Amino acid sequence: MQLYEYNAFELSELLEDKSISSVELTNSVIDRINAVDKQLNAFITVCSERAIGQAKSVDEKRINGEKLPRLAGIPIGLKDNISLSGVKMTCASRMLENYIAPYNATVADKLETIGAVLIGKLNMDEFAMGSSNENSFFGAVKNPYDTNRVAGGSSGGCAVAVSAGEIPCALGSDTGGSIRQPAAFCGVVGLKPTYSAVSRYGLTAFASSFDQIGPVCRCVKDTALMFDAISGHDRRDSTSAQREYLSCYDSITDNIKGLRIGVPRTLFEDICSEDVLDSFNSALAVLEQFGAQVVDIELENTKFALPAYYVISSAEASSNLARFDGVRYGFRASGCKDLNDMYISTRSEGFGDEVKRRIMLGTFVLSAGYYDSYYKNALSAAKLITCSIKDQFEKVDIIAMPTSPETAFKLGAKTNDPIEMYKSDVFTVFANLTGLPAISVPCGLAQNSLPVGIQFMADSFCEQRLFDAAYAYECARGAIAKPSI
Amino acid sequence: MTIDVDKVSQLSKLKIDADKMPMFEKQMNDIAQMADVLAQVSAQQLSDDTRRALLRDDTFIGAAFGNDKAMQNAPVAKDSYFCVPRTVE
Repeated sequence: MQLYEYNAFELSELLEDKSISSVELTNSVIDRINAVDKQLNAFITVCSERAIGQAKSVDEKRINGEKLPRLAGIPIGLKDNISLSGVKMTCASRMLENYIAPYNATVADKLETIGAVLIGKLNMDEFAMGSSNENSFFGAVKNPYDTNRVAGGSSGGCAVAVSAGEIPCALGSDTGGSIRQPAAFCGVVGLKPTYSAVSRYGLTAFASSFDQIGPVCRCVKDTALMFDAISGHDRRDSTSAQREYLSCYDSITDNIKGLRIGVPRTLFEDICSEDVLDSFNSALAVLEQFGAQVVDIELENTKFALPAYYVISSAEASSNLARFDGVRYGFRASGCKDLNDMYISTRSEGFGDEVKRRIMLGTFVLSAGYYDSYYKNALSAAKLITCSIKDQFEKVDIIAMPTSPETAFKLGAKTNDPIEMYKSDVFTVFANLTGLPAISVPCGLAQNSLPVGIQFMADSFCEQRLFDAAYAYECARGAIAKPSI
Repeated sequence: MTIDVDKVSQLSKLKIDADKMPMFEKQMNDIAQMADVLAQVSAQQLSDDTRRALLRDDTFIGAAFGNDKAMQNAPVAKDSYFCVPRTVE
Protein backbone atom coordinates (compact mmCIF):
# COMPACT_ATOMS: atom_id res chain seq x y z
CA MET A 1 0.00 0.00 0.00
CA GLN A 2 1.35 3.44 -0.98
CA LEU A 3 1.35 6.32 1.48
CA TYR A 4 -1.14 8.32 -0.60
CA GLU A 5 -3.70 5.54 -0.18
CA TYR A 6 -4.02 5.85 3.61
CA ASN A 7 -6.74 7.77 5.40
CA ALA A 8 -5.73 10.91 7.30
CA PHE A 9 -6.36 9.43 10.77
CA GLU A 10 -4.11 6.47 9.89
CA LEU A 11 -1.42 8.77 8.50
CA SER A 12 -1.65 10.81 11.69
CA GLU A 13 -0.73 7.73 13.73
CA LEU A 14 2.15 6.85 11.38
CA LEU A 15 3.48 10.40 11.65
CA GLU A 16 3.02 10.47 15.41
CA ASP A 17 5.08 7.29 15.96
CA LYS A 18 7.64 8.54 13.40
CA SER A 19 7.15 5.55 11.05
CA ILE A 20 6.95 8.09 8.26
CA SER A 21 7.82 11.75 7.83
CA SER A 22 5.57 14.46 6.46
CA VAL A 23 8.10 15.12 3.68
CA GLU A 24 7.87 11.47 2.57
CA LEU A 25 4.09 11.65 2.65
CA THR A 26 3.94 14.96 0.81
CA ASN A 27 6.32 13.66 -1.88
CA SER A 28 4.15 10.57 -2.28
CA VAL A 29 1.09 12.78 -2.77
CA ILE A 30 2.91 15.06 -5.26
CA ASP A 31 4.06 12.01 -7.25
CA ARG A 32 0.49 10.72 -7.32
CA ILE A 33 -0.82 14.09 -8.52
CA ASN A 34 1.83 14.15 -11.27
CA ALA A 35 0.90 10.61 -12.28
CA VAL A 36 -2.88 10.93 -12.57
CA ASP A 37 -4.02 14.52 -12.66
CA LYS A 38 -3.48 15.02 -16.39
CA GLN A 39 -6.33 12.55 -16.91
CA LEU A 40 -8.58 14.02 -14.21
CA ASN A 41 -7.91 17.78 -14.15
CA ALA A 42 -8.71 18.03 -10.43
CA PHE A 43 -6.03 20.60 -9.60
CA ILE A 44 -5.73 24.16 -10.87
CA THR A 45 -2.62 24.97 -8.81
CA VAL A 46 -0.18 22.61 -7.08
CA CYS A 47 2.04 24.34 -4.50
CA SER A 48 4.79 21.69 -4.34
CA GLU A 49 7.58 23.89 -2.93
CA ARG A 50 5.36 25.58 -0.39
CA ALA A 51 3.98 22.19 0.69
CA ILE A 52 7.41 20.60 1.09
CA GLY A 53 8.47 23.63 3.15
CA GLN A 54 5.48 23.18 5.45
CA ALA A 55 6.15 19.44 5.69
CA LYS A 56 9.80 20.02 6.65
CA SER A 57 8.75 22.47 9.33
CA VAL A 58 6.33 19.93 10.83
CA ASP A 59 8.95 17.17 10.72
CA GLU A 60 11.44 19.40 12.56
CA LYS A 61 8.92 20.14 15.29
CA ARG A 62 8.20 16.43 15.68
CA ILE A 63 11.88 15.55 15.84
CA ASN A 64 12.22 18.19 18.56
CA GLY A 65 9.62 16.33 20.57
CA GLU A 66 6.71 18.74 20.17
CA LYS A 67 3.24 17.22 20.61
CA LEU A 68 1.39 18.14 17.42
CA PRO A 69 -2.30 18.18 16.45
CA ARG A 70 -3.65 15.20 14.50
CA LEU A 71 -3.67 16.91 11.12
CA ALA A 72 -0.08 18.18 11.42
CA GLY A 73 1.90 17.03 8.40
CA ILE A 74 -1.16 15.81 6.47
CA PRO A 75 -1.55 17.13 2.88
CA ILE A 76 -4.88 18.88 2.30
CA GLY A 77 -6.30 20.56 -0.81
CA LEU A 78 -8.49 23.66 -0.96
CA LYS A 79 -11.23 24.41 -3.46
CA ASP A 80 -10.08 27.32 -5.58
CA ASN A 81 -12.60 29.74 -4.10
CA ILE A 82 -10.88 29.66 -0.68
CA SER A 83 -8.11 32.24 -0.13
CA LEU A 84 -4.60 31.01 0.57
CA SER A 85 -2.23 33.93 1.00
CA GLY A 86 0.27 34.37 -1.82
CA VAL A 87 -1.31 31.65 -3.98
CA LYS A 88 -3.55 32.10 -7.03
CA MET A 89 -7.28 31.90 -6.36
CA THR A 90 -9.10 31.72 -9.68
CA CYS A 91 -12.61 30.52 -8.77
CA ALA A 92 -12.14 28.62 -12.07
CA SER A 93 -12.92 31.85 -13.90
CA ARG A 94 -11.15 33.94 -16.51
CA MET A 95 -12.19 36.86 -14.31
CA LEU A 96 -9.67 35.80 -11.62
CA GLU A 97 -7.21 33.87 -13.78
CA ASN A 98 -4.22 35.78 -12.37
CA TYR A 99 -5.57 36.86 -8.97
CA ILE A 100 -3.20 36.21 -6.04
CA ALA A 101 -4.95 36.01 -2.68
CA PRO A 102 -3.54 38.72 -0.37
CA TYR A 103 -4.75 37.01 2.82
CA ASN A 104 -5.71 33.65 4.27
CA ALA A 105 -9.29 32.46 4.67
CA THR A 106 -10.00 31.64 8.32
CA VAL A 107 -10.14 27.93 7.49
CA ALA A 108 -6.73 28.14 5.78
CA ASP A 109 -5.36 29.96 8.82
CA LYS A 110 -6.74 27.29 11.13
CA LEU A 111 -5.26 24.46 9.07
CA GLU A 112 -1.86 26.14 8.76
CA THR A 113 -1.80 26.88 12.48
CA ILE A 114 -2.19 23.18 13.30
CA GLY A 115 0.51 22.22 10.78
CA ALA A 116 -1.57 20.85 7.91
CA VAL A 117 0.26 20.86 4.58
CA LEU A 118 -1.77 22.88 2.07
CA ILE A 119 -0.84 21.19 -1.17
CA GLY A 120 -2.86 23.12 -3.76
CA LYS A 121 -6.03 24.58 -5.16
CA LEU A 122 -8.75 22.42 -6.67
CA ASN A 123 -10.84 22.79 -9.81
CA MET A 124 -14.50 23.70 -9.54
CA ASP A 125 -17.43 25.09 -11.51
CA GLU A 126 -16.88 28.79 -12.19
CA PHE A 127 -17.72 30.73 -9.00
CA ALA A 128 -19.19 27.47 -7.64
CA MET A 129 -22.11 27.59 -10.08
CA GLY A 130 -22.76 24.15 -11.50
CA SER A 131 -23.50 20.52 -10.75
CA SER A 132 -21.06 18.76 -13.06
CA ASN A 133 -17.77 20.68 -12.92
CA GLU A 134 -18.01 21.33 -16.66
CA ASN A 135 -18.29 25.12 -16.13
CA SER A 136 -14.60 25.65 -15.37
CA PHE A 137 -12.43 28.07 -17.37
CA PHE A 138 -9.67 25.47 -16.84
CA GLY A 139 -11.64 22.58 -18.34
CA ALA A 140 -13.95 19.89 -17.01
CA VAL A 141 -12.95 17.59 -14.15
CA LYS A 142 -13.28 13.88 -15.00
CA ASN A 143 -14.75 11.19 -12.79
CA PRO A 144 -12.04 8.69 -11.74
CA TYR A 145 -14.50 5.77 -11.97
CA ASP A 146 -15.14 6.60 -15.65
CA THR A 147 -13.32 9.50 -17.26
CA ASN A 148 -16.13 9.93 -19.80
CA ARG A 149 -18.40 10.99 -16.96
CA VAL A 150 -18.72 14.11 -14.86
CA ALA A 151 -17.24 14.55 -11.40
CA GLY A 152 -20.30 16.38 -10.08
CA GLY A 153 -20.09 19.93 -8.87
CA SER A 154 -19.30 22.43 -7.97
CA SER A 155 -16.54 20.96 -5.73
CA GLY A 156 -15.69 18.36 -8.39
CA GLY A 157 -11.93 18.84 -8.06
CA CYS A 158 -12.11 18.13 -4.31
CA ALA A 159 -14.14 14.94 -4.73
CA VAL A 160 -12.01 13.63 -7.59
CA ALA A 161 -8.65 14.40 -5.96
CA VAL A 162 -9.74 12.60 -2.78
CA SER A 163 -11.31 9.67 -4.62
CA ALA A 164 -8.30 9.14 -6.90
CA GLY A 165 -5.81 9.17 -4.02
CA GLU A 166 -4.25 12.51 -4.93
CA ILE A 167 -4.93 13.83 -1.42
CA PRO A 168 -6.55 12.32 1.69
CA CYS A 169 -8.73 15.35 2.48
CA ALA A 170 -9.99 18.54 0.89
CA LEU A 171 -12.09 21.54 1.80
CA GLY A 172 -14.91 22.42 -0.55
CA SER A 173 -17.89 24.74 -0.36
CA ASP A 174 -21.56 23.79 -0.48
CA THR A 175 -24.24 26.27 -1.57
CA GLY A 176 -26.86 23.84 -2.93
CA GLY A 177 -25.13 20.47 -2.72
CA SER A 178 -21.70 21.34 -4.09
CA ILE A 179 -19.86 19.15 -1.59
CA ARG A 180 -22.33 16.28 -1.22
CA GLN A 181 -23.31 15.66 -4.85
CA PRO A 182 -19.74 15.34 -6.21
CA ALA A 183 -18.85 13.28 -3.13
CA ALA A 184 -21.69 10.89 -4.04
CA PHE A 185 -20.62 10.77 -7.70
CA CYS A 186 -17.00 9.98 -6.78
CA GLY A 187 -17.51 7.54 -3.90
CA VAL A 188 -16.22 9.73 -1.05
CA VAL A 189 -17.66 11.35 2.08
CA GLY A 190 -18.78 15.00 2.01
CA LEU A 191 -20.13 17.15 4.84
CA LYS A 192 -22.10 20.38 4.59
CA PRO A 193 -21.93 21.72 8.16
CA THR A 194 -24.66 23.73 9.88
CA TYR A 195 -24.78 27.25 8.44
CA SER A 196 -22.57 29.46 10.65
CA ALA A 197 -20.56 26.57 12.17
CA VAL A 198 -17.59 27.26 9.88
CA SER A 199 -16.32 30.76 9.09
CA ARG A 200 -16.88 31.99 5.54
CA TYR A 201 -14.18 34.67 5.84
CA GLY A 202 -11.98 34.29 2.78
CA LEU A 203 -14.50 32.19 0.84
CA THR A 204 -15.51 33.92 -2.40
CA ALA A 205 -19.21 34.67 -1.93
CA PHE A 206 -21.74 33.08 -4.26
CA ALA A 207 -24.99 33.02 -2.23
CA SER A 208 -23.98 34.27 1.19
CA SER A 209 -27.01 32.96 3.09
CA PHE A 210 -26.38 29.40 1.84
CA ASP A 211 -22.58 29.14 1.34
CA GLN A 212 -20.78 26.89 3.79
CA ILE A 213 -17.26 25.42 3.76
CA GLY A 214 -16.97 21.71 4.54
CA PRO A 215 -14.68 18.68 4.24
CA VAL A 216 -14.44 16.01 1.54
CA CYS A 217 -12.61 12.86 2.71
CA ARG A 218 -12.33 9.13 2.05
CA CYS A 219 -13.87 8.06 5.38
CA VAL A 220 -16.18 9.40 8.07
CA LYS A 221 -13.50 9.60 10.78
CA ASP A 222 -11.37 11.88 8.60
CA THR A 223 -14.43 14.03 7.93
CA ALA A 224 -14.99 14.43 11.67
CA LEU A 225 -11.31 15.26 12.15
CA MET A 226 -11.50 17.98 9.51
CA PHE A 227 -14.76 19.39 10.87
CA ASP A 228 -13.21 19.66 14.33
CA ALA A 229 -10.28 21.57 12.81
CA ILE A 230 -12.31 24.17 10.91
CA SER A 231 -15.44 24.80 13.02
CA GLY A 232 -15.73 27.57 15.57
CA HIS A 233 -16.61 31.21 16.01
CA ASP A 234 -14.84 33.86 13.94
CA ARG A 235 -15.26 37.58 14.59
CA ARG A 236 -14.48 38.29 10.95
CA ASP A 237 -17.68 36.50 9.80
CA SER A 238 -20.73 38.27 11.20
CA THR A 239 -22.89 35.18 10.64
CA SER A 240 -20.52 32.92 12.59
CA ALA A 241 -22.20 31.17 15.55
CA GLN A 242 -20.90 31.85 19.05
CA ARG A 243 -20.99 28.46 20.71
CA GLU A 244 -18.75 25.75 22.04
CA TYR A 245 -17.77 22.82 19.85
CA LEU A 246 -16.84 19.45 21.32
CA SER A 247 -14.57 17.12 19.37
CA CYS A 248 -16.71 15.01 17.07
CA TYR A 249 -13.72 12.80 16.22
CA ASP A 250 -13.12 11.84 19.85
CA SER A 251 -16.81 11.11 20.46
CA ILE A 252 -17.57 9.15 17.29
CA THR A 253 -19.32 5.81 17.88
CA ASP A 254 -20.79 3.06 15.74
CA ASN A 255 -23.52 2.44 18.31
CA ILE A 256 -26.74 3.60 16.69
CA LYS A 257 -29.14 1.38 18.63
CA GLY A 258 -32.45 3.20 18.84
CA LEU A 259 -31.48 5.96 16.36
CA ARG A 260 -34.70 7.07 14.65
CA ILE A 261 -34.22 7.59 10.91
CA GLY A 262 -36.99 9.37 9.00
CA VAL A 263 -37.32 8.58 5.29
CA PRO A 264 -39.40 10.94 3.09
CA ARG A 265 -40.11 8.31 0.41
CA THR A 266 -42.70 10.28 -1.54
CA LEU A 267 -40.08 12.97 -2.13
CA PHE A 268 -37.69 10.78 -4.07
CA GLU A 269 -39.17 7.42 -5.10
CA ASP A 270 -40.58 8.63 -8.42
CA ILE A 271 -37.51 10.58 -9.52
CA CYS A 272 -34.61 8.31 -8.55
CA SER A 273 -33.08 5.79 -10.88
CA GLU A 274 -33.67 2.16 -9.97
CA ASP A 275 -29.95 1.70 -9.28
CA VAL A 276 -29.89 4.54 -6.78
CA LEU A 277 -33.06 3.35 -5.03
CA ASP A 278 -31.70 -0.20 -4.70
CA SER A 279 -28.46 1.01 -3.13
CA PHE A 280 -30.32 3.40 -0.83
CA ASN A 281 -32.75 0.71 0.36
CA SER A 282 -29.89 -1.71 0.98
CA ALA A 283 -28.18 0.93 3.11
CA LEU A 284 -31.33 1.43 5.16
CA ALA A 285 -31.58 -2.34 5.72
CA VAL A 286 -28.00 -2.34 7.04
CA LEU A 287 -28.78 0.52 9.42
CA GLU A 288 -31.85 -1.36 10.67
CA GLN A 289 -29.74 -4.45 11.31
CA PHE A 290 -27.53 -2.30 13.51
CA GLY A 291 -30.45 -1.22 15.66
CA ALA A 292 -31.72 1.93 13.96
CA GLN A 293 -35.48 2.41 13.61
CA VAL A 294 -36.49 3.42 10.10
CA VAL A 295 -39.82 5.24 9.77
CA ASP A 296 -41.54 6.86 6.81
CA ILE A 297 -42.13 10.60 7.11
CA GLU A 298 -43.77 13.26 4.96
CA LEU A 299 -42.18 16.62 4.24
CA GLU A 300 -44.45 19.46 3.16
CA ASN A 301 -43.98 22.09 0.46
CA THR A 302 -41.12 20.18 -1.13
CA LYS A 303 -42.16 21.18 -4.67
CA PHE A 304 -41.00 24.71 -3.86
CA ALA A 305 -37.48 23.70 -2.81
CA LEU A 306 -35.59 23.67 -6.11
CA PRO A 307 -37.22 26.84 -7.55
CA ALA A 308 -36.79 28.68 -4.23
CA TYR A 309 -33.15 27.67 -4.11
CA TYR A 310 -32.40 28.89 -7.63
CA VAL A 311 -34.29 32.17 -7.14
CA ILE A 312 -32.60 33.04 -3.83
CA SER A 313 -29.11 31.86 -4.79
CA SER A 314 -29.23 33.69 -8.14
CA ALA A 315 -30.50 36.87 -6.47
CA GLU A 316 -27.60 36.79 -4.01
CA ALA A 317 -25.13 35.89 -6.77
CA SER A 318 -26.21 38.87 -8.88
CA SER A 319 -25.44 41.14 -5.95
CA ASN A 320 -22.22 39.41 -4.85
CA LEU A 321 -20.72 39.27 -8.33
CA ALA A 322 -21.33 42.97 -8.95
CA ARG A 323 -17.89 43.51 -7.40
CA PHE A 324 -16.21 42.08 -10.50
CA ASP A 325 -16.03 45.27 -12.54
CA GLY A 326 -12.40 45.37 -13.65
CA VAL A 327 -11.43 48.20 -11.28
CA ARG A 328 -9.71 46.80 -8.18
CA TYR A 329 -8.74 43.23 -9.05
CA GLY A 330 -9.16 40.58 -11.67
CA PHE A 331 -9.57 40.72 -15.42
CA ARG A 332 -10.11 44.00 -17.28
CA ALA A 333 -11.10 44.10 -20.96
CA SER A 334 -8.83 46.16 -23.18
CA GLY A 335 -9.67 48.98 -25.60
CA CYS A 336 -12.69 50.30 -23.68
CA LYS A 337 -13.97 53.73 -24.68
CA ASP A 338 -15.38 54.77 -21.31
CA LEU A 339 -16.09 53.50 -17.79
CA ASN A 340 -19.45 51.92 -18.59
CA ASP A 341 -17.97 50.17 -21.61
CA MET A 342 -15.19 48.88 -19.36
CA TYR A 343 -17.68 47.42 -16.86
CA ILE A 344 -19.74 45.73 -19.57
CA SER A 345 -16.83 44.42 -21.65
CA THR A 346 -14.93 43.19 -18.59
CA ARG A 347 -17.92 41.27 -17.23
CA SER A 348 -18.98 39.95 -20.65
CA GLU A 349 -15.50 38.66 -21.48
CA GLY A 350 -14.58 37.58 -17.94
CA PHE A 351 -17.63 35.48 -16.99
CA GLY A 352 -18.74 32.19 -18.56
CA ASP A 353 -22.29 31.45 -19.73
CA GLU A 354 -23.61 29.79 -16.54
CA VAL A 355 -22.42 32.69 -14.39
CA LYS A 356 -24.02 35.18 -16.79
CA ARG A 357 -27.27 33.20 -16.73
CA ARG A 358 -27.43 33.28 -12.94
CA ILE A 359 -26.50 36.96 -12.67
CA MET A 360 -29.26 37.81 -15.13
CA LEU A 361 -31.77 35.54 -13.42
CA GLY A 362 -30.92 37.13 -10.08
CA THR A 363 -31.22 40.62 -11.54
CA PHE A 364 -34.61 39.67 -12.98
CA VAL A 365 -36.09 38.24 -9.75
CA LEU A 366 -34.95 41.31 -7.81
CA SER A 367 -36.31 43.82 -10.33
CA ALA A 368 -39.39 45.98 -9.78
CA GLY A 369 -42.57 44.07 -10.53
CA TYR A 370 -41.06 40.61 -10.00
CA TYR A 371 -39.49 40.92 -6.54
CA ASP A 372 -42.64 39.85 -4.66
CA SER A 373 -43.73 37.04 -6.95
CA TYR A 374 -40.29 35.43 -7.18
CA TYR A 375 -37.81 36.54 -4.53
CA LYS A 376 -40.19 37.19 -1.63
CA ASN A 377 -42.19 34.03 -2.30
CA ALA A 378 -38.95 32.05 -2.49
CA LEU A 379 -37.95 33.33 0.96
CA SER A 380 -41.39 32.34 2.29
CA ALA A 381 -41.06 28.90 0.70
CA ALA A 382 -37.66 28.41 2.38
CA LYS A 383 -39.24 29.30 5.69
CA LEU A 384 -42.16 26.88 5.20
CA ILE A 385 -39.76 24.07 4.27
CA THR A 386 -37.62 24.82 7.32
CA CYS A 387 -40.67 24.61 9.60
CA SER A 388 -41.75 21.33 8.01
CA ILE A 389 -38.33 19.73 8.44
CA LYS A 390 -37.75 21.10 11.95
CA ASP A 391 -41.13 19.59 12.97
CA GLN A 392 -39.86 16.18 11.86
CA PHE A 393 -36.96 16.39 14.30
CA GLU A 394 -39.51 16.13 17.11
CA LYS A 395 -40.15 12.58 15.87
CA VAL A 396 -36.88 11.41 14.32
CA ASP A 397 -33.16 11.95 14.97
CA ILE A 398 -31.98 12.14 11.38
CA ILE A 399 -33.55 12.20 7.92
CA ALA A 400 -32.17 9.95 5.17
CA MET A 401 -32.54 10.22 1.40
CA PRO A 402 -30.41 9.58 -1.67
CA THR A 403 -27.85 12.34 -2.26
CA SER A 404 -28.68 12.64 -5.95
CA PRO A 405 -31.37 11.01 -8.11
CA GLU A 406 -28.84 9.34 -10.39
CA THR A 407 -25.19 8.33 -10.68
CA ALA A 408 -22.57 10.41 -12.53
CA PHE A 409 -23.82 11.25 -16.01
CA LYS A 410 -21.85 11.49 -19.27
CA LEU A 411 -19.80 14.61 -19.95
CA GLY A 412 -21.85 17.01 -22.07
CA ALA A 413 -25.15 15.20 -21.43
CA LYS A 414 -26.82 18.16 -19.71
CA THR A 415 -24.78 21.19 -20.69
CA ASN A 416 -27.50 22.61 -22.96
CA ASP A 417 -30.34 22.03 -20.52
CA PRO A 418 -29.84 23.98 -17.27
CA ILE A 419 -33.07 22.71 -15.69
CA GLU A 420 -32.02 19.08 -16.12
CA MET A 421 -28.66 20.02 -14.61
CA TYR A 422 -30.33 21.82 -11.69
CA LYS A 423 -32.43 18.71 -10.91
CA SER A 424 -29.22 17.00 -9.86
CA ASP A 425 -29.46 19.13 -6.68
CA VAL A 426 -33.09 18.31 -5.95
CA PHE A 427 -32.31 16.49 -2.66
CA THR A 428 -29.31 18.47 -1.53
CA VAL A 429 -30.83 21.97 -1.58
CA PHE A 430 -32.94 21.20 1.52
CA ALA A 431 -29.93 21.45 3.82
CA ASN A 432 -28.99 24.82 2.33
CA LEU A 433 -32.49 26.30 2.37
CA THR A 434 -32.83 25.31 6.03
CA GLY A 435 -29.21 25.84 7.16
CA LEU A 436 -29.13 22.27 8.53
CA PRO A 437 -26.08 19.97 8.45
CA ALA A 438 -26.00 17.05 6.01
CA ILE A 439 -23.50 14.38 5.07
CA SER A 440 -23.19 12.16 2.00
CA VAL A 441 -21.66 8.72 2.46
CA PRO A 442 -20.98 6.18 -0.30
CA CYS A 443 -23.50 3.32 -0.25
CA GLY A 444 -21.92 1.02 -2.78
CA LEU A 445 -21.65 0.89 -6.53
CA ALA A 446 -24.64 0.75 -8.84
CA GLN A 447 -24.94 -1.85 -11.62
CA ASN A 448 -23.12 0.56 -13.94
CA SER A 449 -20.13 0.37 -11.50
CA LEU A 450 -20.55 4.01 -10.46
CA PRO A 451 -20.82 5.15 -6.82
CA VAL A 452 -24.12 6.02 -5.13
CA GLY A 453 -24.41 8.27 -2.08
CA ILE A 454 -26.82 8.21 0.86
CA GLN A 455 -27.46 11.56 2.54
CA PHE A 456 -28.24 12.08 6.23
CA MET A 457 -29.58 15.39 7.54
CA ALA A 458 -29.85 16.38 11.21
CA ASP A 459 -31.03 19.31 13.29
CA SER A 460 -28.80 22.39 13.62
CA PHE A 461 -25.39 21.74 15.22
CA CYS A 462 -26.08 17.99 15.47
CA GLU A 463 -23.09 17.03 13.31
CA GLN A 464 -22.14 14.39 15.90
CA ARG A 465 -25.36 12.54 15.17
CA LEU A 466 -24.53 12.58 11.47
CA PHE A 467 -21.01 11.30 12.04
CA ASP A 468 -22.25 8.47 14.27
CA ALA A 469 -24.89 7.31 11.78
CA ALA A 470 -22.47 7.61 8.87
CA TYR A 471 -19.66 5.86 10.75
CA ALA A 472 -21.92 3.00 11.87
CA TYR A 473 -23.08 2.55 8.30
CA GLU A 474 -19.54 2.77 6.93
CA CYS A 475 -18.30 0.10 9.37
CA ALA A 476 -21.17 -2.22 8.48
CA ARG A 477 -20.92 -1.60 4.74
CA GLY A 478 -17.24 -2.42 4.42
CA ALA A 479 -14.95 -1.08 1.74
CA ILE A 480 -16.26 -0.13 -1.68
CA ALA A 481 -14.21 -0.67 -4.82
CA LYS A 482 -11.77 2.18 -5.45
CA PRO A 483 -11.45 3.71 -8.91
CA SER A 484 -8.91 1.82 -10.98
CA ILE A 485 -7.04 4.90 -12.16
CA MET B 1 -44.42 35.76 -18.30
CA THR B 2 -41.50 36.31 -20.65
CA ILE B 3 -38.10 37.59 -19.58
CA ASP B 4 -36.71 40.42 -21.70
CA VAL B 5 -33.12 39.12 -21.74
CA ASP B 6 -31.84 42.19 -23.59
CA LYS B 7 -33.11 44.49 -20.84
CA VAL B 8 -31.98 42.23 -18.00
CA SER B 9 -28.49 41.95 -19.53
CA GLN B 10 -28.22 45.75 -19.60
CA LEU B 11 -29.23 45.93 -15.93
CA SER B 12 -26.60 43.27 -15.19
CA LYS B 13 -23.85 45.15 -17.07
CA LEU B 14 -23.48 42.25 -19.48
CA LYS B 15 -23.54 42.11 -23.24
CA ILE B 16 -24.92 38.93 -24.76
CA ASP B 17 -23.64 38.09 -28.23
CA ALA B 18 -26.37 37.98 -30.86
CA ASP B 19 -25.65 34.34 -31.70
CA LYS B 20 -26.16 33.33 -28.07
CA MET B 21 -29.28 35.40 -27.45
CA PRO B 22 -31.82 32.72 -28.54
CA MET B 23 -30.15 30.17 -26.22
CA PHE B 24 -30.24 32.52 -23.22
CA GLU B 25 -33.84 33.53 -23.97
CA LYS B 26 -35.01 29.93 -24.09
CA GLN B 27 -33.06 28.77 -21.05
CA MET B 28 -33.95 31.73 -18.85
CA ASN B 29 -37.62 31.55 -19.72
CA ASP B 30 -37.61 27.83 -18.98
CA ILE B 31 -36.09 28.58 -15.56
CA ALA B 32 -38.62 31.36 -14.88
CA GLN B 33 -41.39 28.93 -15.81
CA MET B 34 -40.02 26.43 -13.31
CA ALA B 35 -40.05 29.17 -10.67
CA ASP B 36 -43.65 30.18 -11.46
CA VAL B 37 -44.79 27.50 -8.99
CA LEU B 38 -43.67 29.90 -6.23
CA ALA B 39 -46.84 31.93 -6.89
CA GLN B 40 -48.64 29.15 -5.00
CA VAL B 41 -46.68 29.73 -1.80
CA SER B 42 -49.03 30.56 1.02
CA ALA B 43 -47.15 32.70 3.49
CA GLN B 44 -50.16 33.54 5.65
CA GLN B 45 -49.28 31.04 8.34
CA LEU B 46 -45.74 32.36 8.68
CA SER B 47 -44.88 34.25 11.79
CA ASP B 48 -42.61 37.28 11.54
CA ASP B 49 -39.59 35.71 13.19
CA THR B 50 -37.04 36.78 10.62
CA ARG B 51 -33.60 35.75 11.81
CA ARG B 52 -31.16 38.59 12.12
CA ALA B 53 -27.42 38.28 12.46
CA LEU B 54 -26.06 39.27 15.84
CA LEU B 55 -24.38 42.65 15.59
CA ARG B 56 -20.76 42.68 16.65
CA ASP B 57 -19.14 45.47 18.60
CA ASP B 58 -17.94 48.32 16.42
CA THR B 59 -14.30 47.75 17.27
CA PHE B 60 -11.10 47.35 15.28
CA ILE B 61 -10.52 43.64 14.66
CA GLY B 62 -7.03 43.94 13.25
CA ALA B 63 -5.38 44.93 10.01
CA ALA B 64 -5.95 42.35 7.28
CA PHE B 65 -3.20 43.58 4.98
CA GLY B 66 -1.49 46.77 3.85
CA ASN B 67 -1.75 49.05 0.87
CA ASP B 68 0.69 47.14 -1.32
CA LYS B 69 -1.20 43.89 -0.97
CA ALA B 70 -4.53 45.62 -1.49
CA MET B 71 -3.25 47.04 -4.78
CA GLN B 72 -1.32 44.01 -6.01
CA ASN B 73 -4.19 42.62 -8.11
CA ALA B 74 -5.27 45.94 -9.65
CA PRO B 75 -5.42 45.74 -13.47
CA VAL B 76 -4.07 49.31 -13.68
CA ALA B 77 -2.73 51.29 -10.72
CA LYS B 78 -0.57 54.37 -10.20
CA ASP B 79 0.71 55.89 -6.93
CA SER B 80 -1.66 53.73 -4.84
CA TYR B 81 -4.69 54.70 -6.93
CA PHE B 82 -6.83 52.44 -9.11
CA CYS B 83 -6.87 53.82 -12.64
CA VAL B 84 -10.00 53.70 -14.82
CA PRO B 85 -10.92 55.29 -18.16
CA ARG B 86 -11.41 59.06 -17.90
CA THR B 87 -14.91 59.96 -16.72
CA VAL B 88 -14.65 63.78 -16.73
CA GLU B 89 -13.49 65.70 -19.78
